[in-house]
Amino acid sequence: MSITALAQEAATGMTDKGLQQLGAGLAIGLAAGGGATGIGILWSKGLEGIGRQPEARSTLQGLMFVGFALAEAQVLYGLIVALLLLLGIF
Amino acid sequence: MALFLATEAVEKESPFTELTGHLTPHHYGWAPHWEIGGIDLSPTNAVVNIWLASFLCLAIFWMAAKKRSLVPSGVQNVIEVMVDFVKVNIVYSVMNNKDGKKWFPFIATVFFFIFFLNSVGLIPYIGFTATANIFVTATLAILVYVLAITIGMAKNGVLKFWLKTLVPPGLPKVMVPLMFLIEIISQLARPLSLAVRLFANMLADHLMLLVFAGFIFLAAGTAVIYGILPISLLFMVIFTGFALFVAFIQAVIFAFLTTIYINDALHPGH
Amino acid sequence: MHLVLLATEAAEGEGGFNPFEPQWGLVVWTTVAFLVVLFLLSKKVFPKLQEGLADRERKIADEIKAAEATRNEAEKILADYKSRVAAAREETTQLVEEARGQAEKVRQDLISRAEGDARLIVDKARRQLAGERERILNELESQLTVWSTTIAGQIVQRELNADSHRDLVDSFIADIRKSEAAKS
Repeated sequence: MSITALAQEAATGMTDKGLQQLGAGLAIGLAAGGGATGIGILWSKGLEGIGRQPEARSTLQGLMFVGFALAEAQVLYGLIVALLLLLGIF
Repeated sequence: MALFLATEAVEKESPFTELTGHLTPHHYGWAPHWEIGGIDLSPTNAVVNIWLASFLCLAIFWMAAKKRSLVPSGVQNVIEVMVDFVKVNIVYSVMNNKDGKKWFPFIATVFFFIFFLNSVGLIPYIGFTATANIFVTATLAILVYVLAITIGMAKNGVLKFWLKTLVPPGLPKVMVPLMFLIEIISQLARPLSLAVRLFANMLADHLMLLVFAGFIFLAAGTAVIYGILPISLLFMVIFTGFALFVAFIQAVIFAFLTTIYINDALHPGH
Repeated sequence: MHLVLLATEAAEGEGGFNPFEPQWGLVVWTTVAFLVVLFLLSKKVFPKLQEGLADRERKIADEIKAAEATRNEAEKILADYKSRVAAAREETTQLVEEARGQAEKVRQDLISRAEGDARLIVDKARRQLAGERERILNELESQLTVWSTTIAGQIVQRELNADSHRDLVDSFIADIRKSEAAKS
């Protein structure tokens, strides 16, 4: 650890590792919030559609699962960034 | 470098260190060491996993294809239902009949290969998934993407293909440079997102299971174990079920996007 | 087993969690495995599977066609049967109608005959009544002549020739009758 980093830690209590962990938490937290919102909207609209047109159920269900997987992937991009931060690769 | 320990060696050994090691390929002590041209080709657990998935995939298909009966049963029935699913819901929902007939074997192979790779990791005692490694998924994604653009260039001519792909027709002249930039980024994002999506999903599933398993080890020897143990086990069961679902749906997504990319390459500018 | 292996290998610097650590061997193996699976599946398995599926589809199509033919035949038979039933029903209706017509005719016959009989009886009775009335009137007339002669003789207290008086009374009664007939 450099002198300046030590000085910073002594002055504020902030360490590089602490900041990495903070960033990782924010990354996955915000990503999960966005993904949850997206999946919520997707399923609410999908179910609405099924309610309005029950005969379109099988088509809509397939598309909803695809959309679900695509929205979920966005959360996992956040997870990857969180892991990169935790591992100190960035 | 371990996840929660980082560089502090003085801290108490965390169970997560050992458990997350499951997600990194490692050499077996008894296995031979193969190396060709500086590349380590020795059978690590990841390599064995890939072998196993390929073998299972081939064996089950061989069984289904060998014993043909008009009224299907057992393996043949399951395989036929899945083949039909790939055919109807993935290939023919995107491609026209002529392209679909030609490309169905490739897309079905992509689907089943990835599905078996994903699923093999969920068999008890294997405890490792090859697709939870970004190098495996990136290889598959790049293979598929390179194949798609090669096909596109061979069919439409190199210059025409890139022109049609990167500059959508019927665009006002002012918008062309902007769209050109956006299209280049979207083309680059295709293999990247394909690889990262599959990798992240499989990694997240196994990470989730390992975290709940880690809680048990963390609580071992303390009083809270009686509360933690059943809850952790319940969540592990639930997440194993979810992992099965994800293993299937991610194979579907990968095959579906592969179909779309190949179709885009065959008919650029749509 | 893995844990033990991991523990021994962690000492060699492996086993730490880093999914981004380069694994060029995996790239090679993935490519090889994918190409082998692709080659075997697309050369050996999928043509066979497709053929089987096509076979089944053809067979199912054939069976559907056969079933359709059978159904058409059944429909034809059913239509035939139905038309026959309809014809029989029509015939029955006609028969019933005919019987009803005949019954009506018989009824009319009977009624008209009974009416004729009744009229005859009434006529006969009326005729008898008229004859009786005539007879009674005649008798009354003759009696009346006798009685009136006797009464007149007593009143006048004079012996009269019965014959001349009878003539007188007869003419008188004839007068009365004439005037009555004129009145009625």
